[in-house]
Parts: sequence; C-alpha cells; structure tokens
Amino acid sequence: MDFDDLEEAPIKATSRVSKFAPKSSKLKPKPKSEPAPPKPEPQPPISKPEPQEFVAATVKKNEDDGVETVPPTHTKPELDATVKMEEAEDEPESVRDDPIDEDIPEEDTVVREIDVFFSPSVDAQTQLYVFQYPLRPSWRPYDLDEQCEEVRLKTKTSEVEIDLSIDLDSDHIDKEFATKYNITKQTLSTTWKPSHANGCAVGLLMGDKLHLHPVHAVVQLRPTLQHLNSGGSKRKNAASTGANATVKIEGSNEEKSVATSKKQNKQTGPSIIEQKSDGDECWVPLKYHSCKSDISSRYLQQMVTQESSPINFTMRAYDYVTALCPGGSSNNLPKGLSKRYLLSLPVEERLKKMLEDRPLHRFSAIKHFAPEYSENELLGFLQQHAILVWGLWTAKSSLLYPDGGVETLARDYSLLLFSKSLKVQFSDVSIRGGELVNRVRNCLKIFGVERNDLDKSTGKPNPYWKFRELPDESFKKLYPDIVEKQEELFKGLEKQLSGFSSNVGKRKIGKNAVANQGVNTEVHKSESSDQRVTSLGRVPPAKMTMSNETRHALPIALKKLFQTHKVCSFKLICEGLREMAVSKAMLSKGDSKMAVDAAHSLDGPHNELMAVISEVACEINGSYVLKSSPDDPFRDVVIDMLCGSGPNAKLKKAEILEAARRKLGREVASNEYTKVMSELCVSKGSVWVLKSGDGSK
Amino acid sequence: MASGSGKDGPGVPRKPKFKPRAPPRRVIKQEVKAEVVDDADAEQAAKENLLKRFNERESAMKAKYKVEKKVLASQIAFGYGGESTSMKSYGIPRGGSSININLSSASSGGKEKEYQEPWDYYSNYPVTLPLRRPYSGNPALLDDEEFAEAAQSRTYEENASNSTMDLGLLEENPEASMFLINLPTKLPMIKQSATAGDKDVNEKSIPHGGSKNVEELCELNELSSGFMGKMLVYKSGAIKLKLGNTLYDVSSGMNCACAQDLVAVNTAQKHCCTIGEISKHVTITPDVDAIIDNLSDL
Repeated sequence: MDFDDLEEAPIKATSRVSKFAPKSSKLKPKPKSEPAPPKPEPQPPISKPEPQEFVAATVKKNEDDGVETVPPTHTKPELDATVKMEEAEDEPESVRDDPIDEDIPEEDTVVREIDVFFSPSVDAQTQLYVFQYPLRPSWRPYDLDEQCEEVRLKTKTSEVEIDLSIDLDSDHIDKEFATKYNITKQTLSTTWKPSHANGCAVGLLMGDKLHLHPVHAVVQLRPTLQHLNSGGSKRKNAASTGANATVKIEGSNEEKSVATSKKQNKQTGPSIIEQKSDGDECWVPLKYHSCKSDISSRYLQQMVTQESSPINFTMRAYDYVTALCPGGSSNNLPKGLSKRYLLSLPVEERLKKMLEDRPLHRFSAIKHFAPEYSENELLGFLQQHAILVWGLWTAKSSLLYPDGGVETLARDYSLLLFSKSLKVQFSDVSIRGGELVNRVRNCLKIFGVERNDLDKSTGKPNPYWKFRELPDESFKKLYPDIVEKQEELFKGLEKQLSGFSSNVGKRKIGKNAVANQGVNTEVHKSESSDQRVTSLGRVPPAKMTMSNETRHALPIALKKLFQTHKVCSFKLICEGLREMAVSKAMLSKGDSKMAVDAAHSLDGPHNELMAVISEVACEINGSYVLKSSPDDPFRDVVIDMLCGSGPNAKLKKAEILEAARRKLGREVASNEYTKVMSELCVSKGSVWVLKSGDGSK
Repeated sequence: MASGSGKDGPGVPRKPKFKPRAPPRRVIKQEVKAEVVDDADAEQAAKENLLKRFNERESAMKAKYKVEKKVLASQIAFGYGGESTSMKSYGIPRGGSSININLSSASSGGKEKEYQEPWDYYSNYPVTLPLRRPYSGNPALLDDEEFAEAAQSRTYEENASNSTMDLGLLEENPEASMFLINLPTKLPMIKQSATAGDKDVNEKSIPHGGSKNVEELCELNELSSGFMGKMLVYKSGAIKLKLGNTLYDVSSGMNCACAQDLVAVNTAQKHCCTIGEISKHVTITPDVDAIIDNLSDL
C-alpha cells in the first residue's frame, strides 16, 4: 500500500509537467487561435477538464483575452470550491437556453449588420495564396517562423515549395541516417498542380466590416517522400532505440521505450528528405516573412483600407437567375416581349406594342392585356389603330409605317387578298414590278404560311399562302356591326387598289413607282393576255354572287371532269361537279375543299357558270369539249368541221384528211388521226358522228 | 521525474533559442540529491498529504477524479511546492529498492486508474486519426461517441445548423479573423457598364422579339473595388448577404481541421508574407426561394 502510493505521484507529476509545456509554446506565436478552444465543448462529459486548463494558460499570458474569450468563467480554478461554483454556473446556462429556443419562431430580428467591402487586389504586384497543410492539424502547425529557409514559386502553375531547416542535434533526429543521405533540410511541396480558385475569396472580419479579397490559388503542401526506404528505417529503429535508452533518464519500461522509439521513427522518417529540384520551369525564390513582421502588418493595413464607392449590382433577381440557369430562358424569349414589361407600360403604349409585336391578335387576348379599358373603349381604340381580318385584329399600316410608302401599299394589298379567302394563290398577285412583288410576298409570309402546290400538268411548284391563324368566329357573332364596318373598310381599300392595279392606260416604269414615296403611287402594269383582259372585264359582275374561292376552284374541277367525260352536256357538267364534291368530301382528301368550292358555283346563276365553262371548253352544237392545247392543231380542225356541219354532223375520213391537209399544210399521221377521232367521235358505219353529251359511251 | 523537472527549470529562459540537451540534466541531478538530504522532515509531511489524496480518490467518482487532476495541474502551474513534493517522494524508492521493480508496479497502477497519454506532446509525436486536440481524453470512449451506431443515423439537417455560432458572428470580434469564402461564380452585374447594357438590351429586344439575349455576368476578379452590400445576422442564426436586388444565403462550410495560412506573394520584390491563419470556411449561395417568391407578378 505505501509503495503504490509513493510510486503513483511521480508518474502523474511527470505527465502534468509535460502537458503544460507544448501549450505555452504553441499559444504564444498565435493569439488568433484562442477562439478555437470552445470547439471541443460539444462533448461535455469528457471535455470538461480541458477549458479549465486552457483558461489557466490564457490567464497567465493574456488576462484580457482570457476574460473576453470565455466570459462565464471569471475566476481562477485554484480551489475545490471554485470548481463546484463552475459546475453550478453550467447548469443555469443550459436552463437559460430553453426560453431562447422558444422565442426564435415567434420573431426573427436582425441582431447584427456587417458591411461588406471588396478590393480586387492588395497590390498591383501581390497575389494572395492560401497555403494548406493537410498533414498538420490546426493546433499543431509547422513552425515556419523559425524553420523556414526559402519559399520557391512557379508563377504560371502556382506550384510552391518550402524548405524547412532540421535541428540535427535534436533528440528526435537520427544523425547516422541523416549523415548517410546528406539530409540537411525538409521540403514541403505541392504534389499536384493547384487549380485557380474561381469564386474563392478571403474575408477579413474586423469589427462590423468584412473585407473581401479574391484568392489567386489554394495550394496544398505535403512533405516529399522521395528518399524513404525500408532498409534505412530498420537500421534506424535499432540506432534510435539505443539513443533513447541512454538519453532518457525517466527509467521507463523497456517495452515502452521500444514502442515510443518506433512511433517517433515513423514520424521523423517521412520528414527527412533531400531538397527537391524541378527542371521544368525556373523557380522564383522568395524570402519568407512571418505574420509578425513589418511587411505583413503593412499588407494587413492595405487589405483593411476601404473604398466607400458602392458597386452597383443593377440586375434584377429574375434576370440573374435566368443567366445562371440559361436552359429555361430559351422557352420564354421566342414569345416576344415579356408580360412584366408590357404591364409596366401605360395602356395605349401597351396596346400599340402588342399590335407591333405580332401580326395577328384575338380580341380576348387583347382584352386580357388591357384590364383598364372597357369593351367599348377597347373597340374604339382598335377601330382607330387596327383592322379586322377573319375576326382577328392586326395593326393598320399607318401604325407600323407612319411615313407610308411602298411597304404600306404592299401590306394593305396583302391584307386585301387574305380578306377575300384564307388561301392566296401566286397567280392572284397580279402586280408587275419586281420590288413591289417581293414586298407583297414578304407581307404574305407574315400573315400566312407559304406552301407549294405541284401543278399536275407541268409538275412545276405553284406557291400559295395559307392564313396563319384560325378565324375567330366568336367575335363575328358577338359584334356583327363592327364586322360590317370593317368589311366596308376593305371595300374602300379594294377600290383604291383595284384602280391602281387595273389602270392599264398609264405606263410608268416600276423604278418610278419606287421613287415616288407618296401614298398615291401608281402601279405600272404591262399588257396581259386576251384571257386576262376578258377576265378583268367580267370581274365586277362575278364578284357580286360567286365567291373568289369558287372562281379559282371551278376551272380545276372542270378539267378533271373533262378527263373522265370527253364530251359533256351542260346538265352532265352540273351533275359531275356535285358527284365530285361528294366523293372527295367522303374521301377527305386535301383538295376536297376545292371540289366543294367548285360545287358552290351551281348555286349562282347559270350564265356565270357558262361564262366560266367557256373559258375552259368550247361548245359544239350544245355539247362541250375541252379546248385544245397549242401543240394539237389537228384537233381544232376536227372541232371546226363538227361545228360547221351543224347538229347531227356526219364526217367522212377522206373529207377530214383533205381539210387537214389544206389547213395544216401536211399529211396527218394515222396514230394522231385515230387518237383524236376516238376521243371526240364514234364510228357509225363508214362515217364519224359526235359523241352524245349524256356521259354514255 | 528529475528529467521532467529539468525540462521546466532551465527550459523557460532557453525556449526561444533551442531545445534542451543532455548535459544540463546531469547538473540538475546533483541538486536533487542535495535537497533530499537536507529536508528529511518534509518527507513525512509529503507522505501524509499523499495518503489524504488517496483516501479522497477512493470515495470520489470518475468525474471527480478529473476535477482533482485539474487542481493538481494548476498547483504545478502556479506553485513551487508541488514540484518539490513530487521530487522528494520520488527520491525515497531509489534508496530502498531496485529500479525495475518500482517501474513495473507503477506502470500497472497507472493503467488501472486513468488513461495516460501514450507520448510526450512536447516532442515530435506522430499524427493519429481522427484528428483530435491533445488531452481530449480516452480515444476509445471518443470513438464510441463519434462513430457508434447512434451517430450513424445522423444526417445533415440544413435548418438545424446554426451558421452564426459556427462562424462566431454573435459577438463583436476584437481581433481580425479570416474566412475562406466560396462565392458564386457569377455575380449580379453585367460585364459592360450598366447604362450601355440597358440600351443594348432595349435596342435588341424590339427588332428581334425572339432573340436570346444572354449577357455575360461579372466574375469575382472583374469587379471594381468598393462597397458591395450588407450582411445581416438574424436572431435565429441565419445569415443573409444582400447585393443590390439579390439576396444570398451565408452558411458555414466544411469543418476543415488542417492548418491553413493566408500568404501574400510579391514576385517583383521576391518576398512571401504570412498575413494570418484562416480559421473557418464560408459558403455563399443565391437565395432561390426568395427570388421565386418575388416572381409572382411574372
């Protein structure tokens, strides 16, 4: 019992003496590390003794800092009573925390405001680096102030090497090993090239001001292990064991000394290495200054000096997030002006912007963007600045082109064409003059989608434009009087434009038309063919009853009908058009609309229908035959003979051939003769008779 | 024992120069012997003190053991009497019995009662993982707390973390503290000047309604110096940074235990200056929730 008591005391005294020494040596060079001790506190049962020891240490060195860092403990822990008092103090603190937690969800107020200042660089020639030492914890850094000999830097790749001196007389150094490999210093280096720190900054917090400085690079420094090998370590173990045995007078157990020496060897082994030298790029040697030197304090002062001019971050939060995540913005931009921008404008400007932005608008959409206006006010505004086309509103040309000119004329003409039908054929653009036609086509593209329809006879593409939007029938039903007014507007436009387009007498060159920028520019038109003259002559009466769509569709339908029945009576033509419309509507083909439009002609007067038929076919004694193409003159000869012979005409082959020889001046080939005669006539005995027009063979 | 006292005695004046060597310790040994011979009566007083302490330990709990350790440590720190007592008690067994027997019995006694640090922290001791401060306690107990099954169920909860306490922003900072701050790569400013940027945007949007106007934003290095904004610390522990119209969340970053220094490198004058030690990491991210809430009128 007595022996145990006596022997325990010296061991504890030894450990306590050794405990105290490293703290004091470490705490001196780094006053800033004092806030670190509170970290172990999350582990209350075991870490309780630690703050006391730290408090004791700090009280010795800096009483003021000690009091500030640990405010609850103001007394020195010398007596048992003091220890008990501290325990009592801990309990009320934990009790006090509970009401604070309860108050948090009720009200979250600002406790502190910190001004943030930014400076792009400390100096024109100075760059900031962050040196990280992964193998050393924060409480045990390298003693750079005393040991650092040289710092080398590669400016391009930001590689860093630091040479640390080694105290060869120290107990922890194996002199034989060092002598063997000529080890005089320890080198820390970067094992890989550090990447540039994008977005990294160092914040210096002093009082209520935070100073930000961008960091050039973050460098990790580790000891180089180039000269370590197992043979040396084995020998080192034996040598160090002997050395430690002789040096240490504590008289510890032999096993302990062996274990201790092994651990020390493992620690010192990696750090004993020759200086590393790279031949890739020349190193820039730098002289090291500690944080206590004058240069360091000067840098600190420069970092803290502030400029009070504010940096204007003028972007809106939405734009900022859109720029950070650009994927989502691609869906919104094609829709044109943003809703927020439009709603921020006054009403009239807003509506004008809308009309300018897109060519066609529904009344309900316009109404949604103008909640301030009533319906009557909105309709008044629209009638003043817009035109109604198929129930959709579009800006007047005077709104888009206040100066007028060719563009206004082209746009109005395009609107006129679309107001007549949802499809505009290329042939309907009956204006000569290259530039004006191009402008009209561009306007047609704005209001409609351009497509190509193949001509079945020649195979050439025939462009046409289809109206872009579906007609708004609801507007027509709700506001019929406005629709009538708008239709009258188009009639007025039609008079102006038709007057210009059909003014054949005046012959001005297209260039003059372009030169004249006035609204009353006359359109030059060259002479058209006889057919066109005829059609223009008949346009006014036809437009009264037959629609434009029907007039366009009818010739195409008639040609198809005559392909089936070569010779048709008027009655057969009417029946054929109806059957064609019904069959194609059932088949739901693309051109069923054309057949239906052609069938509408039957509702109009017969003289109009006969006039259109006469354009396509010629009459022979009450029956109709498709007109001949220019490359088939023999067919015309036969048709003339049939007309001249009167009803129930009978022709003989010899007569036909003789007549053809006189008119054409050549002999008719037998295949040509056979083809034409089989098409138009039937053979009865030795003579040819015209086919009957009732569709039977 | 004598070597321990030797470290303290002559070490104090010599610490700034270099570490102690073998020869001074021999001189100290002679002094110890002289003291032992002179103070024969003091030995008996020391025995009585040790007996009293031993009796107290038997009745006290483990926590109280640590409390007493504190007292002893502080006595050693502040007084000379403690050292002399330990030195005198150590002198007796040398005269009475062999060294080996005493050492073995002493080491066994130490193991049973308290955890003893395996190495001298004053020396070049090895690095062990996980990184813990010296004198944190028994690693076995600490490992159980940190890595046992109870700890595995923990997951990072954003609302539970208190950035203000982690960064130490609750109270006034008497000294300059340094943080390594991670900012977003883009800041809410267009690369061109503000007025020119606005004009360009207006001109572009009118003719090309569907064009994609993706302007380039400023990076941190492209900013001019000046006042950026305000950082607001709330009672609940949340921290916000306001730059213009944009709000950012400020939170504590990963807990980095390794040593970090901020260094100013001047390649022209060829010197390298340590400015200070970086203690904590900070991460700043845009507050997307606040931005989305403000977009209700879109």
